[in-house]
Amino acid sequence: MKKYLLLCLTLIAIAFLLLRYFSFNENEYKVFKNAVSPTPTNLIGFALGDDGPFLAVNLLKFKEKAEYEDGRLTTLSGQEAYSIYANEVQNHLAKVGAKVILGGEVNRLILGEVEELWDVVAVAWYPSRKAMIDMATSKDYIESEKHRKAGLAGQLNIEVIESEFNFQ
Amino acid sequence: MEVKNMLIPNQTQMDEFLEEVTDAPISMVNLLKFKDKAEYEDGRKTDLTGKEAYSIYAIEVVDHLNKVGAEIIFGGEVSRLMLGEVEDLWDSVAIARYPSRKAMLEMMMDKDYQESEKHRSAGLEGQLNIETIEAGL
Repeated sequence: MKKYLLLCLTLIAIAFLLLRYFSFNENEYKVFKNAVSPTPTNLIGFALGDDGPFLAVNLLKFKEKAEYEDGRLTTLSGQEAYSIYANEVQNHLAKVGAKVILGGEVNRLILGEVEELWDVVAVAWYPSRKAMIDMATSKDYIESEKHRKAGLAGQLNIEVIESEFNFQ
Repeated sequence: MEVKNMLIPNQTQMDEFLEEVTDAPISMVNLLKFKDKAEYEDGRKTDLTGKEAYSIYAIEVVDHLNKVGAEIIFGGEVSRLMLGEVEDLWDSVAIARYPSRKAMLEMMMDKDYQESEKHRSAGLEGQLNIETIEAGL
């Protein structure tokens, strides 16, 4: 009975969405580029921004095999190397009053198209820009960051100011 | 690389979504791009911007989410890119957590939701919706 209901629900959903799909125009493709380090534009924007709390939405793409800048031999995958960084960074974030609020492995895209889908989405909350700079320039962080650079093929990091919609 | 924002899923996306109606919690990461001016499908006249129309949806959707046990983790305005480059940056990011894919489907099939959704499609130019599962990173 439950199975039957689910099947009905599924068929209705397909019919509904198919109808919607064919009644709309296609959107255009836009270009994007993942990066490991900031461009001058990224840096200037960061320097000029307001100093309130913000969220950093990280869309991450890993290398197949980790590659360390110091040339050390490793059998780690990109994701495994990045995981070392991801574990260690929790402490670095806590030290400056920041925290991870989402770490999710990407299953699929439900809407839209991306030439090469990201592997993971991670969202961190920072109390201020200063907090982020303090973290990024600390010696311990720079040590952990070696694993980030070893594992990461590239990423987008989108700065978001909470919350225009009064979702609560 | 290329990216394309959309208003509704393509056939493959819909098939895949329905294939595994599992009970695992999922977080949906929405990267949103608004129209300059809202355009309603029923052709009604409006002075609203795309963002204003979407805001009506965003406020109403909280109740629809709650009904199926889902919630907004956060929603906010994109101020800039800190890493990477995007030709046409998104306007907003919103993340919703659902107890299961079934819960999300249930919400989408609800008549009240479909009423609210009119404001979404009026205001939204397109979006990415990335399905993620909690990972112990």
